Amino acid sequence: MTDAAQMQETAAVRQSRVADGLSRFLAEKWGTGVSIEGMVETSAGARRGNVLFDAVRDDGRRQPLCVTYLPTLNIELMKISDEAALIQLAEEGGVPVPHVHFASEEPSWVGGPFFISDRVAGETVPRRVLRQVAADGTGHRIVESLGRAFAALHQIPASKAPESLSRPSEETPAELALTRLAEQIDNLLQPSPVFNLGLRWLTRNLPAPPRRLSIVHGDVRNGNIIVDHDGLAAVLDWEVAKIGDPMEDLAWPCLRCWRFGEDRREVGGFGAREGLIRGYNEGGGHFDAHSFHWWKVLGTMRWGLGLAGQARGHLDGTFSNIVMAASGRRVAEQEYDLLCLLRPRGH
Amino acid sequence: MQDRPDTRELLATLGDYLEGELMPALEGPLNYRTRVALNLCRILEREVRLGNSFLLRERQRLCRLLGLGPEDLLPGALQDQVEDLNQQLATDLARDVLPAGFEASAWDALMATTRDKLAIVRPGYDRYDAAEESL
Repeated sequence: MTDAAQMQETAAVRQSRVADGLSRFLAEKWGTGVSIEGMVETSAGARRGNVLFDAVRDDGRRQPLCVTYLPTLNIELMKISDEAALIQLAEEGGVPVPHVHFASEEPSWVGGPFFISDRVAGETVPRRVLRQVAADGTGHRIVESLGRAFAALHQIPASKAPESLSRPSEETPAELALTRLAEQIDNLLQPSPVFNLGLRWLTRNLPAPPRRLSIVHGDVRNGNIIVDHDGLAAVLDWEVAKIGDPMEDLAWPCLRCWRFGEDRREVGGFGAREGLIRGYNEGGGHFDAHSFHWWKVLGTMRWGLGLAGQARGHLDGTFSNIVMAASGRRVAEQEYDLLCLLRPRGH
Repeated sequence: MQDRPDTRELLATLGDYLEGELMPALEGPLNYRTRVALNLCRILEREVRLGNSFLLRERQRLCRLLGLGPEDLLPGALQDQVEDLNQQLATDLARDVLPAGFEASAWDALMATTRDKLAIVRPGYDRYDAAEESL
């Protein structure tokens, strides 16, 4: 069965199971009858669901909420309860996030672990985000807010993070990332001398270890943030967070693939990097230009190799569909971006 | 020899069908996947038209960069030869010491080839050159 057929077959069943579970769970927590209304599934992710809903209590009080859940127990990147704890920690540190109300690893409610958070109003679909930002003139403000949000996150003592977060041991975060990248290059179905040139540059230009290790969100970019008419409203999707080098976080939203056509606005299609640096430094962070560039090169390669991995998954049957197949023909975009970043002087 | 329509003509027809007839009738994920299929049709049309000449150019660049002549090529299909040359270059780029200027020459050759690849898979992507983003 294709994953499309699977998705269609089970969507209705899954939604009613989740509604029933949420209703029972919230009724127990709040001590009143609760009905679940207006459910909208928003997540395109195959691994986990995000459902927006209204919880309506017996007295008529209506609360807009969001549940993030795993359909089964065995596909967690990070334990859902750890992710929820991390979001709460980020909120205490001053990072804009949806407030988390409840988290549970108990599968009997919705079929797998889940957490329930506030539903933050705003836009998340990248091209719609960029249209709205252009209309509202909020691009520069968002860039600076991202800088401040990163600064707030990176100043939280890493020791407070859930212990399950991955972290480097002996090596620096850059060395660890480089080792993983070299493995991905070894797994390519065909040689890519462009990626070998990139690996060579990364190996010979390793950044100094960061002043201190920080909690790194790992995937802040246009598409994982909520933007409202005032600017940045919330940072979402904390499931790949880890302990690492703060510059990795700043570099990631600056990859060209997250600008959605607004190529001259380096930070997510919103604006120039100067605002990001200003927000970050004013918020108490320490921007490092060399390390930032290194992580941008690494991120560009990581995304390119990820696309190649999707094509491999399609071809070997682990995850076959036309989108994964097409990913193989998008690797060249990342190769081009990589070469641009490595341009020798005068070329 | 097959009868007309030929490969290019059929791919164009297939793409036009997906774009003009199928996509308007579809919504949501199926519309999206059909758009992906349409894009693949357009890629294949361009590949049928340009692919072979681009492979020849890639082989030439790689031979020049690696200092190889026609006698050094694998016997067999052009595509296999190019893959073999790319493997040789990839192996070279993993060496500790390279001849002076080799990396810059490799960059030139790889950039030219990557632009050719983009002309098939994503025409226009190389209009932006990230000149402000270097270290």
